[in-house]
Amino acid sequence: MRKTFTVLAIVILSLSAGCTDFLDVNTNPNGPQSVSANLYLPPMLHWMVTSPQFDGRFVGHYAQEWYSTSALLSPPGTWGKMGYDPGSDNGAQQWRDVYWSLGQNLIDMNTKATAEQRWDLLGVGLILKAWGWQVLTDLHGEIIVKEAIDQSRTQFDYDSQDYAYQEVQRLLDSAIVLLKRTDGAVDAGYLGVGDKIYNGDRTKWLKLAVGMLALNLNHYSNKASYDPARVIRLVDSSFANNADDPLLAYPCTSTDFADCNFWGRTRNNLTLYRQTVFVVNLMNGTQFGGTVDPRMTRILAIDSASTTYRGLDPNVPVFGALTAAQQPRNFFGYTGTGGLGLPSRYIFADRSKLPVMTYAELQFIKSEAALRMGDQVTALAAYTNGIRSHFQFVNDRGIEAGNPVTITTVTRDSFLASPNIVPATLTLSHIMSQKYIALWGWGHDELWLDMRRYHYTDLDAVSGTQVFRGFTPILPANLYSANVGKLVQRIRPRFNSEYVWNRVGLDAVGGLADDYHTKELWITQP
Amino acid sequence: MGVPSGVVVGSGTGTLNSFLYFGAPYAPGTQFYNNVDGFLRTGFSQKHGLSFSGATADNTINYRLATSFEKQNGVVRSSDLNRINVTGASQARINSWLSTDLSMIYTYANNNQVYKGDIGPLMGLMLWPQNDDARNYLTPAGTRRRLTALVSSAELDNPYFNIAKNAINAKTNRLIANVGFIITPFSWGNIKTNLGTDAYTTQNLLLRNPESALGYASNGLLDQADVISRNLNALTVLNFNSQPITNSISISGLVGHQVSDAKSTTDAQTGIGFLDPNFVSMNNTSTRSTLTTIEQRRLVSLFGQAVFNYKDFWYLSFTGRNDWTSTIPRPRNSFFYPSVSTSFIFSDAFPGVRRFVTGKVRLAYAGVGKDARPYAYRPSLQFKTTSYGGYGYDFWGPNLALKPEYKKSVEGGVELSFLNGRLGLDATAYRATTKDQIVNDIRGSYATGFILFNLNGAATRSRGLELTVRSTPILRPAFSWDMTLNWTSSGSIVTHLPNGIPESYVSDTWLYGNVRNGTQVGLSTMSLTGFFYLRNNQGQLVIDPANGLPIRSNAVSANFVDRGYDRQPDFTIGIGNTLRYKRLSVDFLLDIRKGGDIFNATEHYLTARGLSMETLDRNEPRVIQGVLRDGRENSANPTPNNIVIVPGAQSVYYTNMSEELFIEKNINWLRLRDITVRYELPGRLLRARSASVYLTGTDLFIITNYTGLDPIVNGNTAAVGGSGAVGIDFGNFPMPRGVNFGISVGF
Repeated sequence: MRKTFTVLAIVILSLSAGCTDFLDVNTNPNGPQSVSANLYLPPMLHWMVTSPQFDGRFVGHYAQEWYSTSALLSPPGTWGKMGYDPGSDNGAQQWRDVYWSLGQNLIDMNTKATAEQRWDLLGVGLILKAWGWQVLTDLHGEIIVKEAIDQSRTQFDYDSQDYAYQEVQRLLDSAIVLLKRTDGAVDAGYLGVGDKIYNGDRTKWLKLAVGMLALNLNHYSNKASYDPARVIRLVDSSFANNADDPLLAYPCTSTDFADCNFWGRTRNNLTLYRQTVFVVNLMNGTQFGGTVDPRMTRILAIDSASTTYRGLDPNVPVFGALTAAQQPRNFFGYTGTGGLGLPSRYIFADRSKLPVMTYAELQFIKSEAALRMGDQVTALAAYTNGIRSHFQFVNDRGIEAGNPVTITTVTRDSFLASPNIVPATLTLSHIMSQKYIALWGWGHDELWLDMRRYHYTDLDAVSGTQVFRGFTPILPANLYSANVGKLVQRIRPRFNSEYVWNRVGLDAVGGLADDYHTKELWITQP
Repeated sequence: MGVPSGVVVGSGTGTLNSFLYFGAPYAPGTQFYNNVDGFLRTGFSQKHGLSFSGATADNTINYRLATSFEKQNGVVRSSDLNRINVTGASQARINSWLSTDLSMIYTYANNNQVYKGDIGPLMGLMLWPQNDDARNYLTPAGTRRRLTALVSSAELDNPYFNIAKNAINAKTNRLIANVGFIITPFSWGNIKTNLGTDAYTTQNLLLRNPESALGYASNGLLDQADVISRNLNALTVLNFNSQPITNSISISGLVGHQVSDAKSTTDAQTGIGFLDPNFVSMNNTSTRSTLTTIEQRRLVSLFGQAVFNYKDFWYLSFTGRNDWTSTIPRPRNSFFYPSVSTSFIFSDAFPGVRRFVTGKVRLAYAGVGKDARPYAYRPSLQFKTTSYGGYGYDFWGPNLALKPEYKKSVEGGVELSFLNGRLGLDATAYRATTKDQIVNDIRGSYATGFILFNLNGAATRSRGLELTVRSTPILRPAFSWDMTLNWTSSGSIVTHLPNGIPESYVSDTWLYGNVRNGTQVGLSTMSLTGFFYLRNNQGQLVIDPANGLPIRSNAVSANFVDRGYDRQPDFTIGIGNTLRYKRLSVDFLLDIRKGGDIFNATEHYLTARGLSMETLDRNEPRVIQGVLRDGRENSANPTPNNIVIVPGAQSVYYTNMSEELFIEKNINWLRLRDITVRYELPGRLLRARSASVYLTGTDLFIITNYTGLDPIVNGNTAAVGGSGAVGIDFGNFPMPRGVNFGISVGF
């Protein structure tokens, strides 16, 4: 009996040390460590389209796309006065999405795609990487590129904007080469599982890469190294028409609304925003010799009394002197906060399609480049193309939002026939003001960089009118106090990432100064 | 209600524009309703229990069976707790070398609560206009009656509507079972084995009605989470009886082994878009999403203890324990920690002193290791709810170098007893340091590719002192009085944070405004950090010359700062008394606390809306003490502020007030925790062996310098880790006074 028990005791006690399998329960059962390469793609594509809209709330104030009627200080009293929200991550959603939503996920996807010879997926991955650096450097100037995505570091050095621009070009060049390949495991079906923008069609991704390169090179317009001829060539090999537009259709089926349009009424981000007097004057004829833009009734909101299109002056709070009947409706078309569950307008419905870049945008880029080269004919053709295709864009988005009444071809053509719109001698102010209308509401990153390239109020050398017709920056007395009278030129890097945890890196580029946001970008300087 | 013209007209049917109270005074003759009094009720609870116990004549088998039923209705309508308990236990001596015991406890609890914070009925109650009867919460058509023109989600719920239409419910079924064996095959020792299981299922439900402020945007929101948990524990100890080594020294000890396995599975579901607004079921929702979360942790330990005994008055013991855990990567998942302790009963060693005092002195050093939470060191992909699904990394980055945290403590104590046990004194002091403490959810630059990390590297130092005085001041045959006084003072300081991060905080405690449970190196672990007012280098407030108001710290040039706010009390005292007179006994417990700060967020919330008593003098002109921000504020001659403001005309005085002004410092209290009066009835009265009746009062009074509702507050629940949200008061109901009456009878 004793022996049995002694043996039993020894057995029980010895079991413990050898049970390595027993302790092997720390592999997370709630999420895999690694998945098929095409499954990394959907969230990254979602953020490529959606992230600029988050920041568009505030960039839209800088560019006077809209103005919030909120009674709180932010955004009308901070961003609306060309300032920022101290201590807040507002205006830095793209920082979060490039470094985290893309970040390591993109590296993992690209590594897998390379190993599996999926050149089309790798091409899309490089487009995403290039997109990330492009939008970040255009918003923030100096950003972290070389040392990015490294979990062993705690301090990160910033790279110059020049380096960031070159890196974008390098990535797009590689993407273009890869997207031309048809060997290896290139498979539209496999890519299409994760790609709901182009459904796996690598030829369209190729056009997008070329278009992004054109956009990048066009930003050098203030520099001696600007090459407009190359920009024109690239635009010509990019999108052929609106059917090439990379559009993301928001399904809006999730209970947390994460897959609904950021601008839709359900997510309630745009409800208190109203159009500014600047954008109204661009479309109601004031800035174009009296020719009313037919797109105005589809894009902008009429007043409560349904008589006139009015806009707000961001220098005064809320609606200023407008009476209740004169106040413009919300962008969904209803007074006050209405519109929940009801038909919407333009790109402001829960299930709208938003673009990364449009054919119209590229045509305006081509037109600007051609004009700067002195080629009136090309400039005029591209300019007219741009307006025409944006009319198509407005019609398409309107139908999706629940507004089936489209602008007829006749109306469009009579608008284009007006010499106020399509003059004999095209000027930069025509091109940039019409490009602004084509980008209004969704193309905030590019729209704001355009304004900064022209220093907000530059005059067109030929006609003497402002390039951005009628744009009046915030009056010096009303500017955000930390600006010390200067206009805003960049957004500060994300607060809870950089200003708390990477101050050393920021300090090296002067980012800790209160007026860092007024420091001009390298790309807009000669 | 004075508001600027041109405010957006919303879809609400009311006429007000907000719940801000900065307008003109009410017209004379306005009817006011006392909404607060009518809302709360007297809570009623009942608890009944029945227990049986017995044994065989030779005491080889005994049993105990008990059941109790409890039903509590809280002071807030719709809050209640029902609980049923069934316990069975039995011990048996099978033969000369084997004894067993078995116990099983089953509990069922059903708990309804109300929401806390600014979505709770307390805030709604305080904000509701007093010239409106809050009981009238439905329109004649049966929909939510609204007072403002704001959209539904912007108007705070009427408190009656909130408790009638929103709900928080938890039902728990729990079974705890234990089986033990004691095997004594040899004379020099025995083996004790204990196998235990704790299995429970909790069903949580959170309901937000489609018309309420919370549920409006999604047309109703229903959250259900079923947590199924099963914890297994097996403990085996081989005891060695005391064996003499020499004449005066003997040794005893044990060797043991423990295995524990804890697993829980949470199946959670969210439903939005209620079809029928009032039917509560997941089947009534039009869009649903689910999430399953599994968590498992296993721990295997081996431990041993040796105790040396010198002449029965000096003991020296050594213990060592090695744990193997599943949550730390190999090979660091095995960690060893020892302890040494000694106690010396000096009154047995020197019998001469026994006339005056008996007692012992003890000293101990202990090390303890601790592992991490499951899945903490390797990132996994998460299914994303953004367009078209797909996978992406969750917030947490990798830390393959994760190791266990370690705590070393030294403790010394004295126990003394005087006057034949009439007076006893215990004193204990301890010092402990932790190193490699794991700080979860550390943030860093997003350029790492991740947002949060779980890192080792924090270190803390804590100290404590505890004194207990046990006395029997009066001891007579018919009357006696026992008193126990316990004085405790303790605190911890953070001595090191990983990665040199400037601050560590628990984001769940950031309930309100710009104050949170943040700690920095050199600060107490219970400190508060925030965006406080700008001050010049002499600590004076810096005033904005444009409006005469102080300036909140610009968060770019100042992080969340520490201004010395600390929620840790200086000391606490508990005094328990028992008085006995013949058949009557009175027990009462007094609770005293000194020091420690509390953030009264409720008061700030009300002040920013013009409802706090602090705002009564809003029409008095005043000058805020401080210096003007004219460039000379940090010089030797700053310009004192001379701008007169009238808060009534400049309501931003209140709406932009820093939360700093509402952190109340050095809160003390004296409260009567409970008092019980019990009377032993003569048994023959009810043909019973024993019978007694009792009357208990709980939280009968409190004397405190805290201006809020109740200083014993926790803004969140105990589930928040670390020092949690204790001392942050936002929308918490105070502890109610309770009076209980009961009778217990034994047969």
